[in-house]
Amino acid sequence: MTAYLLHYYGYMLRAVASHAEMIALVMVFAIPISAALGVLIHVFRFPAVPVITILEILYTIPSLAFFAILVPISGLGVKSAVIVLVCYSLFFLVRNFLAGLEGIDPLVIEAARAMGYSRAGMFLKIELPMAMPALIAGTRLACMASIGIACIAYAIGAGGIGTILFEGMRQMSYVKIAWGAILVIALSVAVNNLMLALERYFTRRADPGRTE
Amino acid sequence: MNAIEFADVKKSYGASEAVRGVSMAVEEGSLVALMGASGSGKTTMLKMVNRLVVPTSGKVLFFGGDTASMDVTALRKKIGYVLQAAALFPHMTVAGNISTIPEILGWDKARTRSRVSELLSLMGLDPDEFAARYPSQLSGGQQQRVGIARAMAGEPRVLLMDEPFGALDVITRSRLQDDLLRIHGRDGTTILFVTHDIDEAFRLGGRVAVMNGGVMAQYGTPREIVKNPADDYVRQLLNFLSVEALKRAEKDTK
Ligand SMILES: Nc1ncnc2c1ncn2[C@@H]1O[C@H](COP(=O)(O)OP(=O)(O)OP(=O)(O)O)[C@@H](O)[C@H]1O
Ligand SMILES: [Mg+2]
Repeated sequence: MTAYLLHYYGYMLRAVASHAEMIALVMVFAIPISAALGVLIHVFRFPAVPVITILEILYTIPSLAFFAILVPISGLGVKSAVIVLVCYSLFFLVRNFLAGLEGIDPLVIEAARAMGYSRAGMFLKIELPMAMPALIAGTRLACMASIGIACIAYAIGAGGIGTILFEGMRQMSYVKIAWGAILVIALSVAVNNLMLALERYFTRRADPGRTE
Repeated sequence: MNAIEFADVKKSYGASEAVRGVSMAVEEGSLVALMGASGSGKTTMLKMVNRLVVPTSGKVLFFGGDTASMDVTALRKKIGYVLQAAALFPHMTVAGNISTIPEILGWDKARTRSRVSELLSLMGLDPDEFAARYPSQLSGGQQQRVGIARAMAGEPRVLLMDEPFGALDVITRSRLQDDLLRIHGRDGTTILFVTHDIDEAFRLGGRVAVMNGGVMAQYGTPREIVKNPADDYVRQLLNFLSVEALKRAEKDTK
């Protein structure tokens, strides 16, 4: 185990970095798209059911099949992987964002409406800060799911920690498989903790007076 | 001039009728107490003034203009609204909550700040102690007082208050009733004040409107109501009026 680490730490680090990069890229697309969809549905009253249904259907496509479908369209590599992961992530993000917005005390919304806020003013000043914790919670779930599924994206040449796992399987090398698994878990735990810290921060900001 | 006028206003929610054809006028600068049993339509009446609720039929006029054809945010900026629950914004400090309307109205910082201190003091909350607190660091009664301050912050022409003192102890309540009468006398703000409590209604209201099951049982000065109760419901209600309030109403000339 340690011999492999000492010999290949650069290679392992690059695998983790490319994995993390892929997830970051997914979020760079998924968060603005989901925010736009959330605003479209919540503020502009676009019907939620068709949007959620489409996202649900996309979410039920098995990842390997989804990758395979995309290869003829967007080719092998990171691009196809990111598209798939963005689709999956939208499911968590949109659902959580809407739940956060709809979970706000209706009396608070009524008070804000009675004040004469413009729709935009009310969204930015009242609703968004109060729904932030739910949006971040959705982001955390999306990251967790993406980190796992991204391992399979090696199959379409997207790199990442999947490289080590798949090589390990091909060569029947338990050392490689074990290291691959450890790296995925370590990345998941690190990202999870980072997102939890963000979630706590925004939860506090949404109600700073509450002492937990 | 009437600040608010209801003209044969009805509101139904599906099959149930919350308000069944009410006409009443609230004169500019007056304080009208709207009372009645739970579910009699008081909150619905208030919300039809700032169009949180749209009447099923009939008209609500605001200073003579039909609210149905007004720009709704412009209308709401002229009306302060105190909810039955405080419903403060949890992510803003007490000062932030009270500043929301001045900010919407575009007041400058200095004016907003002095208005916040003035209102907190008026509500019996020391600005140094309370301005920087968050709503969940306040007792229910303190929250309610901040809710009142928030509604009054923009110096609205009309103030709608939905059982604002319901959650307060008798001493604070009585003090705030005095304060409300004083502010009303000083600023001449038109106030439509909902309450369950007949003593409170008679103490505050220059006129009292009694709702019963979505209709207006009687609308008049405390004296008129005491002298000539319109129906059995009002008579029954008067049995619960305290002796002092009754005496005050009998010689009332306000
Ligand atoms: N959004 C709504 N949907 C359906 N029915 C409603 C709605 N709002 C109010 N009602 C009904 O309308 C009637 C009047 O309600 P309203 O809130 O005006 O009463 P109220 O006099 O303010 O009562 P309370 O003293 O308990 O606050 C009630 O029977 C209530 O159940
Ligand atoms: Mg009510």
